[in-house]
Amino acid sequence: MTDDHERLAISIDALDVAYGPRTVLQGATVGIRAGAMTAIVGPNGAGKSTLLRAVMGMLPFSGSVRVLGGPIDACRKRVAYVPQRAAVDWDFPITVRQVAEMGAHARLGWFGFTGRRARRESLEALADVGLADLAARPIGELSGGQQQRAFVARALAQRADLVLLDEPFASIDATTERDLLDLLAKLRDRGTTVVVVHHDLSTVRDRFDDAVLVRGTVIAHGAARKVMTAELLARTYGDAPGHGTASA
Amino acid sequence: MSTATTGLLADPHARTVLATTATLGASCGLAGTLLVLRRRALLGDAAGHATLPGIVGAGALSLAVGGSGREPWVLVVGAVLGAVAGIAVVHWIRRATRLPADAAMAIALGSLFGLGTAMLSALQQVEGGHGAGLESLVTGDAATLVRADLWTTAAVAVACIALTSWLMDDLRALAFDEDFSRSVGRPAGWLDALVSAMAIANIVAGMRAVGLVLSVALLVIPAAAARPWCRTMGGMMVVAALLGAAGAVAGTLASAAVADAPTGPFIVLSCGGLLAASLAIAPRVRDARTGAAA
Amino acid sequence: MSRGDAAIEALRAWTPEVDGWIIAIGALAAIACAVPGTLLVARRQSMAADGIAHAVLPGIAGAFLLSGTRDLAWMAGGAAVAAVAMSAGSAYLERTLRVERDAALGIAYTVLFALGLALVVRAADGVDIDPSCVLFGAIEFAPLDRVQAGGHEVPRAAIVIAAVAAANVAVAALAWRPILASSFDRGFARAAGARPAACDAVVGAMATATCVACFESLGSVIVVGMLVVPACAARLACARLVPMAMLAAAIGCCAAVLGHVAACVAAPIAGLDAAGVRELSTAGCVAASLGACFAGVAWVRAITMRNLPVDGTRATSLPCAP
Repeated sequence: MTDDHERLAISIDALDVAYGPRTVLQGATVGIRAGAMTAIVGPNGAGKSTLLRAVMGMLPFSGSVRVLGGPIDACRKRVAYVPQRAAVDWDFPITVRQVAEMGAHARLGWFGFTGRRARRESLEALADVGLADLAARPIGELSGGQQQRAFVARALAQRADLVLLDEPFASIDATTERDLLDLLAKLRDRGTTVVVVHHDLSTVRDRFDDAVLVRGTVIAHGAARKVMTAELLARTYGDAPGHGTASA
Repeated sequence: MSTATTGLLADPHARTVLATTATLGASCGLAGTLLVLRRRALLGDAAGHATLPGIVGAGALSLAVGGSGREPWVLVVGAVLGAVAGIAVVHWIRRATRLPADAAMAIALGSLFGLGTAMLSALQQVEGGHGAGLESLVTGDAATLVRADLWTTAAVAVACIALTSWLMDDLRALAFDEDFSRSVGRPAGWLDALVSAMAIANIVAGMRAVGLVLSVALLVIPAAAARPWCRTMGGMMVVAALLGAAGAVAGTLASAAVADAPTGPFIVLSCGGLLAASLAIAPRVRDARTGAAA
Repeated sequence: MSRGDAAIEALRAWTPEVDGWIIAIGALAAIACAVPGTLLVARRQSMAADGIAHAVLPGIAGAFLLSGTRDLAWMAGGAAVAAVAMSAGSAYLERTLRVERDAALGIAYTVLFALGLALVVRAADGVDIDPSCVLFGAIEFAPLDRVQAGGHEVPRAAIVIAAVAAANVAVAALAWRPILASSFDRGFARAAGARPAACDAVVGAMATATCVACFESLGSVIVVGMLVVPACAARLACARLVPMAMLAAAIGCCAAVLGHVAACVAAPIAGLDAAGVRELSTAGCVAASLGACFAGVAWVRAITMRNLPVDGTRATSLPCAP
């Protein structure tokens, strides 16, 4: 168990989260392996995003959450967070390069005179995700998939050990989703832990190492192939409003 | 109009007035860009209206202790306290009732401005009080500007430029993607307080020239007019500052041509004209957007 | 004479002819504002109330400059044009600039209000509208401007505001179903043939008419308060629209009474009568009282919420049942 603990990027124990009188997560316990690509799966309103936000310390919770072996505040610079698309103002006057630079600033410090270095590293990161040509374009002029790539570039420029993405594939077509998954797999192969809140069950089994099934609590977690069974999915999605039993 | 303008430029007092309004316009353009991009535009309106009870209260206090009730620094302190109280009330309403932001702002704006009105009506009846000088703060009177106002406005402008250039990366990250900014441990609360503080400083610096009720317009309109032309926040700040200065100067000149006219409405109308012109000739940069519906 | 005695003395000096009518006009305004105010707040358009109340000024001032009279038809026509310009302008700004709705509204109404103030200055030579009257109103003088009605001398403002209040209630009752549907779920309303845009226009027209009627006596900032504040306070206590509108009217009436009493007794109670202060601005006191009423309702609700296991979503959910 101690051995296991050292290889966990995130360990969550008995996590409770409530919005006012409404309980969203109760007794969630899960360990997410370092260096793996993990999907967090569950119906709408199951608490997937809440789980992620609790990991980031962005909402009050009770229970224990340890990230990269310590409290989140000790390692924020090593964790890259990509919020839901709806949380971002895509009309903001900002260029793609400036988005990537935010990652470099997060690591190098915001106040310092890190301009040239941040610029170089952000351009490298953009080249990595294939956006070098669009560096000077406003983010709003990019397609949805390109915008998500720019956010991955931001995580690259941050040199994060752990990347958390909240519904990155929402309103993105299947081809773009596949390319983005390739990119995330590349990230994982370099040793980065990747955690994705995901709603497309069909890709989880093939493209992710691990899966966490969430509905008000953690229903199951482990290797994707073992967890994505008809029985466990039925328990996760069964009778959920707006969902039939899982199609997988 | 043209003779009035030439006459104005020859007069040292008029030059002070124009320099002050130009500086004010530039400073407001810069601070207003932040306010608009942080989606807090109408908070400036609530803060602007909330300065009135603060100003009148400070004036009354000064009268009570034997002052003139019109000392500039007293009024400035009162205005700042009023604006801070206004923003605090908005936050309190939102936290306590979960009403939407615009409702909270409308409540704070109406109640506090009404309170200020009631207090002003009392102060105007006090012997020796007259509320003179205070009433002109409501709609602005640039003719009352003196050299000290130029230095105050310049100080506010320099402070805004220095703070925004120092914290540019932080402010951009916060306004663009608050969750990310928080996730890497940036102090969102402090940065928001800074944005509000810059807006308040500009509202208070501008109360003699634009007045309280219209102060939000000089913050928001230049930023809006700059928006179609700019791809970055920094660029938008520069363009908004230039447009704000131009609008403020044009409005001051126009109001000088009309006898007894308050300056505020004319400055806001010139800024509105600049916005209309900007929208009429702006390139349609937005048409390139694809699949980016948020 | 103690301060309390002085305050009572100030209230004894009330006459039904003046003070009675001031309170009556304030209360009628509260009733007239309650209907459009409740609808705007329930439709999450509180700031549109602010916008309309400010934007009618150039319409009124422009109509006055054009016609040279204070005839109500001209004023209403001018105000309607200005209100349409405001909503069209802010919608255009929101679309082209892609700024938030509040910012677009703020731009549209401050520019129109500035235009109005500039026009008022032009019109100010020898007429009875001036910039401070526009902002703060002149409810103290409203009882003096009387007309004959049913054998009685009645203030013109009271008749106008009462007529608008009745019209608001009638329109809301007639168009109740589509307005309700479009407040709750625009997509559903459109599918059911309720035409939400037309409902917006109806609610906007009610608000505009109310603003025109109340403008002279209450002033722009106070009208905003009367439209939004009682409705918001009522929303904290009610989950349904009709009780909400009734409560809003009641709260507005309370604030009207409270405000005028405060305007009369505040100076003696604070000991300011020695310094020569007699009466405070009633409009200002009414607006401040609205704030106080809101704070009171919010406070009571905070206490009851703490003691009761209430469903937390209730406070934020839209009142949608009749």
